[in-house]
Amino acid sequence: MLYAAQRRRCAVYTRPLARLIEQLQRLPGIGPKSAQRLALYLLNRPEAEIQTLAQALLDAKQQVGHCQVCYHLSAEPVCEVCSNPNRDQQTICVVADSRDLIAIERTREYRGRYHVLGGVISPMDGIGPESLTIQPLVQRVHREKTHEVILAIGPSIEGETTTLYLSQLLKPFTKVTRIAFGLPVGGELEYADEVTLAKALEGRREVE
Amino acid sequence: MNHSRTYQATGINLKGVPLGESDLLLTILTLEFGLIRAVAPGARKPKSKIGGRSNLFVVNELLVGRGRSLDRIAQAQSITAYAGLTRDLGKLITAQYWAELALAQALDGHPQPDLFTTLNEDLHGLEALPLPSDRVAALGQLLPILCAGIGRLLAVAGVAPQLGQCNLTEHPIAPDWTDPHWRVGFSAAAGGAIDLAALDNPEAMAWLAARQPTKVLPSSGVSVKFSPLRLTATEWQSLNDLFAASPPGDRATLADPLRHWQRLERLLRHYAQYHFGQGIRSAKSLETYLNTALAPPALV
Repeated sequence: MLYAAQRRRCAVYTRPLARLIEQLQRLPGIGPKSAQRLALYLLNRPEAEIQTLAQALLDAKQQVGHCQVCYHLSAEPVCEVCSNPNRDQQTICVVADSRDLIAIERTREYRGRYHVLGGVISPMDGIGPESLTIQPLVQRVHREKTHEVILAIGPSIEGETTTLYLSQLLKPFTKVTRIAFGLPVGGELEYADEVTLAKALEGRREVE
Repeated sequence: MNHSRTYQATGINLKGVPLGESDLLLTILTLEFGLIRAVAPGARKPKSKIGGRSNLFVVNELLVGRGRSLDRIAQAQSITAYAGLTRDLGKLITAQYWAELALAQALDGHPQPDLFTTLNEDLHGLEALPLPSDRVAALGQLLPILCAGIGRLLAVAGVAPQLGQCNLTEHPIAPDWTDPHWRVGFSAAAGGAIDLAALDNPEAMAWLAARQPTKVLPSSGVSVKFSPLRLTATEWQSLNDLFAASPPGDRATLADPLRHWQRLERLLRHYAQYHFGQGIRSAKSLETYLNTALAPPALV
């Protein structure tokens, strides 16, 4: 069936253009229409611009790896956050992936360091604790005599289980906290779903 | 399904994958229409009204709009969320194990009320199950519950193994409790118990061999050989108890209950994988969880 679709595409587009559309379509969130629009846009750009784009893709793939300390994306063995001496060395914020780290960095509220797990425990997807960077985290906390570990993992059922699993593992070595969950700023109580409201009630705190 | 532009259903979320910028594609087992796949628009946004309701194992009353390729959730009202499943990794693995079995047998657009009810009852029981803090003791409680749930889901699918008689000769199986070396065969391809004496019959063996291919299971990509296994009298009795819908056998009489139920889980898993033609991914996590509980890894 795929073969037939490819043949149809080749009949409409010239072969290199069909190949480009096919490759773009592999990107997340890109359907056949968007792939066609992007391919035709790229064809209309100057060659130098296309070469810069292609080179940027290759460079990123070849040079970006994981920080040896926190597993965030980094072109150096140790990322900028971990090598920054002005950051609080005694606090580690644990996040599921690098996108979450970037979101927290954008708040400019947190001055400690991070640890990127590489996902959350999801048995159905074949992701167990051994597939994540949990063992290096425990070793790091033990080695660095960390004062506090903040668990900043999403409140999905898998995220909650990962949070609980980590807190049980880390509690013998350090203070473990988790970010609050509940109503978003500007959100109205009336429109909140039951699950979120229950979380908000569960995580209530005394007014100072 | 009728042909109006929307329909109402009560469903439990069994799977969710990100779709586009902020949507989720949910696989929902519904009481009225079997398995449906519907987009939860904007569910990954913090201010989404259906964000919490799109979580795994949340049961919702849904209003779903029909789409050209995918249906879209217009409204959702939570009935229960099974939040207690997150309090223990063993419970999550068990719940996801059952969810995989439910997904393997659920049909698109065909109501399967027995499947929906069985899964929900089992999840409800699992959520309420008090577990000791010691992980080995907790697993000792959890494994019989897991096996009982697998048994019920196999029975709902209509593929429960036949244990009372040999599936090759139809002779009744009668364990000899005085003989510690008594064994009975168990074959997924034959559909349950087989008299070991029947394996000496070349005709029966040829029949069995023809039905025991080495399968590559699509979801796991692993190759599994379904060769007959040998059960002790106690294992045979425990399996009988599971499928007789009576409580699991007297665990106090078992020398090593954890190993006993671990072996039965593996046996049922192979049986389920054979009949559903799919690997069970959660089983890998269960194995790791069991191994780390029995021999915790060294810190450094």
